[in-house]
Amino acid sequence: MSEPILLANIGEPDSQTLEKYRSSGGYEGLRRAISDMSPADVVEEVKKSGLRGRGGAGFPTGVKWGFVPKDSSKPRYFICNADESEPGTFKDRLLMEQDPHAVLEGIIIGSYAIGAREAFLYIRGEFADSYRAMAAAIDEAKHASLLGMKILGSSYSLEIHLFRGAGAYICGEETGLMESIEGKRGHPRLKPPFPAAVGLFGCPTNINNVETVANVPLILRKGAPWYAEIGCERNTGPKLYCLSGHVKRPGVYEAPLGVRLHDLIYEHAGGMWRQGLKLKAVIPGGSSTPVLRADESDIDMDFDSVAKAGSLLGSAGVIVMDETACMVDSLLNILKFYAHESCGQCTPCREGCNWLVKIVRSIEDGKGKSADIDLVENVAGNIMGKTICPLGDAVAMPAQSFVRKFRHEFEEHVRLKGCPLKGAH
Amino acid sequence: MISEKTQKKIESIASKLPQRAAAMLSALRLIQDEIGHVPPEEREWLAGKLGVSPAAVEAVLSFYTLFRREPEGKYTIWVCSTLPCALRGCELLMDHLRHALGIREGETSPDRRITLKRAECLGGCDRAPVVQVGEDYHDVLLDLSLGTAKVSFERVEALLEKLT
Repeated sequence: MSEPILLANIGEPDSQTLEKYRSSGGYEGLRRAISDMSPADVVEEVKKSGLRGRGGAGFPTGVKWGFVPKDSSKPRYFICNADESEPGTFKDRLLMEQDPHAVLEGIIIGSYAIGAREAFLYIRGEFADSYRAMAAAIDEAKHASLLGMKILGSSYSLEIHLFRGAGAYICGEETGLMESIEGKRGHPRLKPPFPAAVGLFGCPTNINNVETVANVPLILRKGAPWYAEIGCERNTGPKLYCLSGHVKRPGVYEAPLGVRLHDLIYEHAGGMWRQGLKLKAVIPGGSSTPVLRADESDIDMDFDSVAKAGSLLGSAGVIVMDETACMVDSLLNILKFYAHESCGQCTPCREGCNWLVKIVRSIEDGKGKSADIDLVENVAGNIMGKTICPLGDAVAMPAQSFVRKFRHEFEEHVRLKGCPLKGAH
Repeated sequence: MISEKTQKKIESIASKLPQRAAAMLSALRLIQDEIGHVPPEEREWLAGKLGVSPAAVEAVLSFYTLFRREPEGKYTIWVCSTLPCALRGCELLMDHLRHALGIREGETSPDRRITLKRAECLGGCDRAPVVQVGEDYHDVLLDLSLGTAKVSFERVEALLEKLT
């Protein structure tokens, strides 16, 4: 296991204080950006680092920053998306609670790079500790002239607005989040126009995930070439992986992008939680990503390798299931989540989610027919790609993959008229 | 009606934002923190304060899980029931809480102290099965030293004792 970079401060006493953060080089990246570099230089440096967005899509961060127009007469806004809600994901919470200045420094550098004078940090409503830690960090930074008017004596000024969500998964979708900041329901917007052109309050807006911005100070402090050496080709940098489910030590683990999934499960997280039980399945990137069978799960955990294996790195929320897990019941659980969180705008998602829950529940309860198994795939196929935002795909992908990869379990439920694993845990 | 102090706080937030309506979520939270829920009178007041229709306030209030339109118990216990918690015994925990409190999901105890609710993923999967009470997360149980999936409820009992 390599030395942690992103988590270097975490676990240290007072890791959340400005003093501690500065003692290990904190805010040196910001100083370099503001005193030695133009905004365009900063964008270029981040492009060269190869940093790809850690929120799920893996889009190159520097390229995204470059999309924000420089000649707009409107204000430009920088948003940090801290509405971490994808089941199995809890890395951003750790960063905000224990290393809030790293997140803050990243937001300030990013705002400088796109020319924003106002930034917004939108924290999931349930994360009270994250909110408190970030609010304290903002106060400290203001007093130290790292935030507010004339940062570090330069001509650059930035104000940060702290927002708290109120319990809605869909607000993690970037345009749903903007609607929420504007004081409305979190209904995602049709794209185009993309946020870089028409975003928050109708102005050019850039939005990045917490872990993405926490990487930025490192790139500015140590340079793009240093950063690009970490990880593997086209997938550079350190990554936080969240291990949950049937492992001995659930938690957040750092490794370079491209770490083996089985190293994460068996070394970092200590293997199966109960001796003698075998691995059955892994969801590699949060509950919306296609499930992998045990025999296809020893893969490299970077954006491209996971995609090649037929799933997605997503938010790197690795949910591990041993042989006591019923795949019908597990799918039902996931479907219920998305049915609850569907915002209701698009018919395929709003209606489809509820139908999927009803059909899979009837199979789990032993009332399903053989044709119902195909019906799950059919309904999921009619949601996939037919909605305004990716929540439709997020429900269709697990539905399709669970049925395709564990069809025998669904058939067994129909044949036995019930769940053979009920009460197995 | 909410206190003058809270009214002023809401005004101060609204006046600093590019659009006043952007203070909506913060304002609803402040009102709820003071009263326990958001009553009709405050909804009307807030609509006027932020320059939106009363229907716009209703729309937001009914969309977000954490907002309450009706009074609840003094404490709400949210039991996370999404997959990572389900794999580690959240249903056993839910059953236990139902029995111990003598109420069903969504109900409030007769002494109005505790409301029991099922939560979707709380983002605390490292502490699964996790519950949230008020603003705090609690990792409750699962004694792995037993070598089986038997659940140790000691920490749940301690938590309930503190609340009841």
